[in-house]
Amino acid sequence: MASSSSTRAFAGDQSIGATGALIGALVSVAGTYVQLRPNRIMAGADATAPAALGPGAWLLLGLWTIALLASLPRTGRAGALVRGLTANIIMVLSTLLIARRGVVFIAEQGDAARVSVGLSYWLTLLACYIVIFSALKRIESRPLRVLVGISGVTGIAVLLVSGQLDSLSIMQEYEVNAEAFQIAFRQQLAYTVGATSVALVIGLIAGVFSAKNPRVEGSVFAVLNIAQVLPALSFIGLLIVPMGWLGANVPALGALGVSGIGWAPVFVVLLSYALYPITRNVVTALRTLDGGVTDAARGMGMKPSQRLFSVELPLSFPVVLAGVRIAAVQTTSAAILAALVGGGGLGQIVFFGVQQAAADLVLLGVIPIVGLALVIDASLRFVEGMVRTAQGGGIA
Amino acid sequence: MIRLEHVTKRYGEMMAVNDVSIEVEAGEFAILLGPSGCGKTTTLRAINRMIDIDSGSIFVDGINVLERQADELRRHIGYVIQSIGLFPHMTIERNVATVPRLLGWDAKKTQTRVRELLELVGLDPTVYGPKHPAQLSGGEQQRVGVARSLAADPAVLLMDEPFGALDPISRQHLQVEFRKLQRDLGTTVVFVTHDVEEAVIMGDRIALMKDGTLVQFDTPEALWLNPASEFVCDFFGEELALKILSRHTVAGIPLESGPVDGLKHVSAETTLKDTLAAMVSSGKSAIAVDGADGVPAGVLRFETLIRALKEPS
Repeated sequence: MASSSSTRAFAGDQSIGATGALIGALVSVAGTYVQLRPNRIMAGADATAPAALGPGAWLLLGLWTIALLASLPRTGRAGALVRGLTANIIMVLSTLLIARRGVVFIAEQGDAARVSVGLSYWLTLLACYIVIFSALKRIESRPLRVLVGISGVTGIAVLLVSGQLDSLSIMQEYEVNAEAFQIAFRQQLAYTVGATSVALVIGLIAGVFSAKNPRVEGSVFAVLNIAQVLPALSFIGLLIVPMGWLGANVPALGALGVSGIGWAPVFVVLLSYALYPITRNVVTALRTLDGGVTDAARGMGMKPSQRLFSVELPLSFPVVLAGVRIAAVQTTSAAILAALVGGGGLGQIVFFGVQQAAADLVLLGVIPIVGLALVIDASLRFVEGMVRTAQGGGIA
Repeated sequence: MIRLEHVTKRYGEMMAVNDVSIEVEAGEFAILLGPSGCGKTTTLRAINRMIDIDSGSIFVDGINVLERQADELRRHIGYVIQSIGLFPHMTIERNVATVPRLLGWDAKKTQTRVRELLELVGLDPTVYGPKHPAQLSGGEQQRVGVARSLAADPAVLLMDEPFGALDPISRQHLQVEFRKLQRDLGTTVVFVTHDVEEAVIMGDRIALMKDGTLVQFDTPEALWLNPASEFVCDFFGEELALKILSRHTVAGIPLESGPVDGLKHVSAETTLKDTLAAMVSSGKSAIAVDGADGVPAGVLRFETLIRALKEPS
């Protein structure tokens, strides 16, 4: 009885999917989808999707209707696949439609004309992700999950690389600032990779000693906790004097460019933040190892170092990797502060944008940061999954 | 082979092991039995120095274990525990090769030994060798645990409730197979359990412990016939006699001649437990015993069976 009534009602993922599709449909007809401006400074016209895109908007609305129908009760796994793929198509199509509109607008208004995406476009992307998320709850096959998960993003990336999006204002900002952007991007990446890898080395050592000795753990985490609760900006401020002194008085550090401002204090702050999740996870992983396994290792005559390197650390690896993932994502977004003390990074692009009141320049800084964080998160999750599978012999 | 002299271990105020002295012969299967908290596991773990004792001494093969480096000592004493403790990130082959690798054997010798051991515990090396522990059943995992402990051919094997977590059927299989394996290899075994049935089936001698002290160390038959204290009787209960029946076969018990019409038949290899069961189910107080040729060799009477048990040969 209960099962027959539940097949008629919306299942959890279907109601999420339907909500996403309704939001998508709504913003396809209302709100600012595109901003059209004669030049970078002048206030422009806010246009809804039907006003700016014409028949394209009705095409989008039609696709949202398909996604909505595919969220209805009893649509099952096929419904999930249809709405997931439709959402991916909408992501690519809506982006392309705006860019095509931009080409026409620039042809009419001249090269100074600017085309930006509006709130409704961002809400469209959000709606797409709600629908994709709901679809992934029901899709089990791994290739299909990957297809539904990333085909839209990949499609937009292809449009970007092939120059199809050059008519958008954000790409025009990139054209102008290409060199600065590339330097900033490399700096951002260097902060993340550098701080996370140094934190991994220190965190492993501190974690191993902490796990064996509660007194060491007490002092290690007393220090890490202080670093963790200091607001980033005041932490950097506190480091200006000591780092300046080190740079001036230790020639080797001075030669590396260590000073009160610049990359060095930022690196120290990012490193301190990254240390906490990594060290914590090392300690937790070592403490929660299966007692039988460690007892057997000892009982067979493994020395402490042999136990550590061939049993304890390998078995802790997935949990440690989860700590590294958290640290890397956190570092990626925190590194934006480097720009405040002349340390470079994508934050610089963001602050330029704020100074010039150029929203698209701000986005040029923010989108890559978000993208970088997502890519790091996804790839480390993937590695984690592979390690777990390999260690379990193919059994999850 | 193993000698414990006045072994004592304290945890704060609690005497975990109190002045225990036991001597286990070479090739003997010795059981440490008792209620939980009686100190049997602590005693076992003192032998390979997983626990350091407060006073007393322990000799394995004439060598005082306290004078040996602990890791080095443990590589030459097999160790099997209830939670098995296979390394989940290593293949079965790698797990079994643990001690040979620690001892620095070359790859070829190790590989040959691993195959030999897996076959010994009834697992096909080609099938099981490359698998991971998670792909095996509990019973198969403990077979690997036993193989791993025997890798360096230790003279002494310590086992802490090794079959305790298994389902009854795998447990029974492993008990029988392992007992046979131990007899073939001549390994000296110290085996901790709280299961009386397991102790009586497997042990040559049983050391019954209570509150850290050794109550009695003797064969199951002697524990039944000559209990040292009221506690021994209470602990084993009346059923001990029935459990002892499964340790003996019909062979060696004098038979009488007489008509075998209407009697059930057993062979000389049948255990007394099964013989008694056959008598009960047939409703007769006698049973026909067949000789090796399958021809009835005589009749075994219930009274004779009881008397034979009371006077063990």
